[in-house]
Amino acid sequence: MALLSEPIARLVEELSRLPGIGPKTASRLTYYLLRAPRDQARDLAEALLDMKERTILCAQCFNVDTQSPCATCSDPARDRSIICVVEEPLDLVAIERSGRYKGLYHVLHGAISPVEGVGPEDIRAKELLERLKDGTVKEVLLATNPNMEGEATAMYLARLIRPLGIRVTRLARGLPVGGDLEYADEITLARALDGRGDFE
Amino acid sequence: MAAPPRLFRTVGVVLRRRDFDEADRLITVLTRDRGKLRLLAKGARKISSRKAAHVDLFRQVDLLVHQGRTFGVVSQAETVHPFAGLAEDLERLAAAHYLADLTDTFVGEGDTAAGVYDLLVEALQWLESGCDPKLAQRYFELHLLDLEGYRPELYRCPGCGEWLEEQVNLFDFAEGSMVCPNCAEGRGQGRRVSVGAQKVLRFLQRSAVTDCGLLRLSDGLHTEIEGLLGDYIRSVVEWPPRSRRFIETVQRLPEQ
Repeated sequence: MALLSEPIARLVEELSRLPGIGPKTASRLTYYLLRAPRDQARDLAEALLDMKERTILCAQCFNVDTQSPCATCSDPARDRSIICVVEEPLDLVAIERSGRYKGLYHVLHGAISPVEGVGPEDIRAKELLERLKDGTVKEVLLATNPNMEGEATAMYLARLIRPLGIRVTRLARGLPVGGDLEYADEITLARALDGRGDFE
Repeated sequence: MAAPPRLFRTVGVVLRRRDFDEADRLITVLTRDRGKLRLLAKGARKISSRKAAHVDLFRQVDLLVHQGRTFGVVSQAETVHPFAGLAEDLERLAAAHYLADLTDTFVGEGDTAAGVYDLLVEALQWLESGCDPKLAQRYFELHLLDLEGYRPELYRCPGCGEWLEEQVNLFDFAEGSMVCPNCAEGRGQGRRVSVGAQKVLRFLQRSAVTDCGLLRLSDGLHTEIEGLLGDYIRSVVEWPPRSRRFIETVQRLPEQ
């Protein structure tokens, strides 16, 4: 005899397929939902389906939105001469939260990682080059992660973009707010020193 | 029998890493004293993490590890050598990926790997110093094959036992050896090797990095040796290392 009844076992199995959720967490979530009001379970199910049915990739920047072109690409107030290149849609959200960037974006949906078999053809690099052809864009800001995969991606893109006569910039690197200087590694510290500014 | 220590310290080079759970990273590290380890670096994806920078790819890092049930968990990490120069040039960085990929492919968990560890550190240092990335890859391939028991025989023909003469000989992949033209007849898997390429292979196989740095090869010789060793490695591991594809892509890019 099965220990769990079929509907419960099914939900546990489905939840445990999600990244970061193991069988124990999946069981906990399932039993929480079992005790939760019916409305909450229905809202969750509807939100899941709604998300799958109503979201699409923007044909220009490849961000996830309910329309294409997305809200950012169709916003006339945005500066169209600069494109910020990020690895994932969540990186775009993080930059938007800073409130300091007013240009357009391009989401690569990954970073070059040769050891994992991810090459330039597996990310949206070709589509970025297509966007640069009409001459509107004057600067490409490479905001890939500050690690070896992000560096490989940035260097690869820079090699392709520079011959087009477009300025290529990279996000500055330095110390994180709230961090401890004594725990910073030498590369971060060296770059923070190189990029020091006048105290205001 | 005494249980293995639950807390240990080791120095290693980060070969691979992948995201794990909400903010963790699973890293593969090659150490001198404990071989290849898979370790969990908790919170390493957070920008404010104290460990994140120290467990980036290709870092030589001093680790304090707490042995958990499934993985060792990194308690502390401190960079010994960051190999920061690798990230200044795309060819160098692509080569470093290839060296790490080859190492990960050849060395299994639990294998002793002191020799491979020393070779990897030596090759990464050489790459970082600005050497020809292609030469560093060929040097690494030849010496890694040697350490892992697949040393190519470049001096004697296994068919007749005679010393190979200065002429175009055949490299037999199944034999892992150069074969003289007489014995080459009827052998299936093989590749003809020019006299120049044989000399370079022998030199790279018997020399230290300091001497190899003086080598200057023509594009033709580079291509011949790269193809030969690439095919031999494929015949040994039975699939092409994934990072080769990126090296080929980078080689096709326009010059800076």
